[in-house]
Amino acid sequence: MTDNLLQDLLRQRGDSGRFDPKEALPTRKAEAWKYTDLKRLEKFGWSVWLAEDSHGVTAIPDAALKIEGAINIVLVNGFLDRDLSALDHLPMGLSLEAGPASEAYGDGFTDRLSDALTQEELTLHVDAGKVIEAPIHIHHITWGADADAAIAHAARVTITLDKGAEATVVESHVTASGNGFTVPSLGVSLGENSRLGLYSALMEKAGSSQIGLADIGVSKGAVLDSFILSIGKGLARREVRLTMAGERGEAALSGAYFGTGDALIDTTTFVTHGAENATSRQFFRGVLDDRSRGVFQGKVLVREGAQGTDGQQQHKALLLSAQAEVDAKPELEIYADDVQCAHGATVGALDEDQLFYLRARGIPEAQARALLTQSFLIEAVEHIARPAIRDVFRDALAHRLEGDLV
Amino acid sequence: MATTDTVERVSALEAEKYRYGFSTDIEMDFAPKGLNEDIVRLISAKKEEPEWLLEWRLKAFALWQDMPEPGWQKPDVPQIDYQDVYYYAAPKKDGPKSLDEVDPKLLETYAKLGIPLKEQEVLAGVEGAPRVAVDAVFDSVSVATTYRKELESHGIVFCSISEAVKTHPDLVKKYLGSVVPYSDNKHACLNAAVFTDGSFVYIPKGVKCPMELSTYFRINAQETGQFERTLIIADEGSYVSYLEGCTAPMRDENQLHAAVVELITLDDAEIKYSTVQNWYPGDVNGKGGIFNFVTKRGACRGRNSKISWTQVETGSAITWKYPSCILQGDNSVGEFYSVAITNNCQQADTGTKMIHIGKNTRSRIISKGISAGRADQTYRGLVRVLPNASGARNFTQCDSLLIGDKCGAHTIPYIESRNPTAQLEHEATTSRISEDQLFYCLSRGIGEEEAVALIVNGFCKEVMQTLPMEFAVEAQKLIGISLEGSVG
Repeated sequence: MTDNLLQDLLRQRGDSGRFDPKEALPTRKAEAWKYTDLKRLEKFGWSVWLAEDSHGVTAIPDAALKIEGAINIVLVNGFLDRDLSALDHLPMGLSLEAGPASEAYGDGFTDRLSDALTQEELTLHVDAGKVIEAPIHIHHITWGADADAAIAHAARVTITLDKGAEATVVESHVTASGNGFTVPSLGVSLGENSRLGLYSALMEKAGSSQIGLADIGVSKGAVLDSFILSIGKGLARREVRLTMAGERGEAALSGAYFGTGDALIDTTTFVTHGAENATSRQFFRGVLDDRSRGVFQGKVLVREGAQGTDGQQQHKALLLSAQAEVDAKPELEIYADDVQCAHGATVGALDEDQLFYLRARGIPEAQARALLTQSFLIEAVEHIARPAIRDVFRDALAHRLEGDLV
Repeated sequence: MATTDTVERVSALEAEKYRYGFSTDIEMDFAPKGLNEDIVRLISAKKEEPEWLLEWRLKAFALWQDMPEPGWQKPDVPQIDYQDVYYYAAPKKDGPKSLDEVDPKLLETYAKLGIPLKEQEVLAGVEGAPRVAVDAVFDSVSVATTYRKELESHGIVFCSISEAVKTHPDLVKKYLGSVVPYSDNKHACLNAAVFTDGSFVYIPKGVKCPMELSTYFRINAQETGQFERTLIIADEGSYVSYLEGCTAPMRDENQLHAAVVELITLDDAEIKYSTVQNWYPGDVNGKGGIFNFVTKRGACRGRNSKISWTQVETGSAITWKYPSCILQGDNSVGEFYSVAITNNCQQADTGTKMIHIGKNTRSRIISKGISAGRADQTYRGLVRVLPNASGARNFTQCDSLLIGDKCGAHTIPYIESRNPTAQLEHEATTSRISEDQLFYCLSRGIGEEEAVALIVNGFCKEVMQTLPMEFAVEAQKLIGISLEGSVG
């Protein structure tokens, strides 16, 4: 253990990246980390997983999402596992390669952390005009030799859809054993008129922490449908940077989260409209129980000249316990006048009238609460455009709620 | 009575000046430009302040020197040279000799607002005018004194803060800095060190103030200072409505305004604080103009108490303020109604904070922002519900209207809840004036500028309705005028 966790990680990696020699993890004094305290990371002495280390994962863990007919790609501790991945017989037009991490991201803390810790990059490419029917499921698995193991790793996945291509990608995060400090990054580029379904499931166990980043560019006429299901029991922060770079692009960015224990679930979105007549829709729902904490920071920036922008954002949260907390910071920054932009944010408790209605019909209180909580969150899940994925995510959410509320 | 004395003395001075026909002002007290501990001591000494207040000022000054300039705001604030400012009774600058020397644009505005000539002179700072100003504005001095007498009959204290330090030291000592401590922020800290003017209001138990109080009526205050400090205390079961500012654009030599306003309501008391701010915004290119950096905060200390802020902000080059409510008493209510209009190169970063501490506390925020020209404006707000604030309720609505493609409008709300029974709602929209509405007006023969004013007034209606009647009428006109040149 050292007094500077960040420097300790960098030393293990043998590269200080773009960090100052004395720089530490951001504190709550930094505006972007105002609501997310990284102190809990100090509970463990993290070991950075290196390429030469070997793991003991022999099959995809039971905890992982099961998607029928999916092409399963497995990354253990940030590295592609060729034995567990279905790399043979990939459909025509889809290519998948693992190589050294290349690209440097932005200047944010998470960008630099991901750059510094990432060792391997998985590149997924869909050729122009090709439609990949089977969902591509990327499993991020944390494995430690024993229950006390504390593994730090960072995986980078780059997804490129050429003009007119179509694909569905699910990326899920589970802990097989030990504790993980993971810094996954996702670089996504949607070519002209391409269509991508991009669905994330964060399901890591208590003791784990994730600071993830997704950087998504949507070109002219392209359509993105995305969803983040955050039901892990540790710290899970997901930063999404979405840039509407081409005319008439459409993006849906939705999510549902459920916190129990001392989970901290942070969704930080930044949508930039840089082109005319593009549409972005954000729809987030969250429920916090026990001592858990929910954070939603969502920003919509409309640049000068991005006329005809339609940007909507909604975040609703429920608090189920007296110790739970939710902090929301929806933000609009607008420099064009012909726009329709709105955001809404609410925080409240379960509706007493609805609860009374159910109880009057003989449903025990705990079950009634679970039912209402579930229906509240499922409203967000319904935004997933691909029915097969929607079903899987709905079931995963129901399973998680059942384990906790009933 | 002190007031009458002052009036007489002042009138005498006026007469004398007239007799000799020259216009050099003789200021008895003034201190050189710049800020140091001696200036702070001088201010305190001139005001014949007690030791504790001097110490308080000195502590503030010491802290201020080490405080960094805030950097989180959206507006681009130029470096302020604090040493280039007069902190005590600046010697008079030569004002315009008559209305002929006043910027014709300003006069045009006065005409549109229907301000009488005599009053225009006062507002434009024409030499010789100010001393008789109060009479001109309010018919006669006797009006002000009559009001004062009536207030006194109810036991209401309404005087300058310096006077209150002498006449009501216990109240001032108890409440000054209790809502906005001197360490609050850089500008409030500066104010604590050097404040020279401002109002003090105390409404005794169970008294409903029979009239709207306004700085206007306080005849000692025809020149609002740069570092005003206002303290209003509403004791149990009392009510007061306080008006600040003026709809007519005020000519002012001071660029930096760092005022502090503290409101305190005890059990069952209510304060309604309305502001119309129309300081000089600078020219169309943003040259000149006032920096309006104000810290306004109210504490609902008592049960069932209420504080309501209403502001119409149309002036100043930079407006930077967040009138806030600390809802400590159970069932207390905080309200914030705001219209902010920025045109040309104006910048505004304004909003509110509602801190829910007591049970069943309620807050309501309605903010309407209109941005035109190359202006930039931000709503920044915080709604925080602490763990004990069971049953807390908040509703927030922030709407922004953009006129033209070179301006910006931003919304930055912070919503923090730590109580499961609290209910918070926030909604914000940004759009431009609807083509349909504009077309509708134009096709009925209403000119474009008039149509814009009409639509904007409709957009702001919810806030305007909360203004006291006579203020509201003028504020409506003001909206139209502020937006001139923003279309076509």
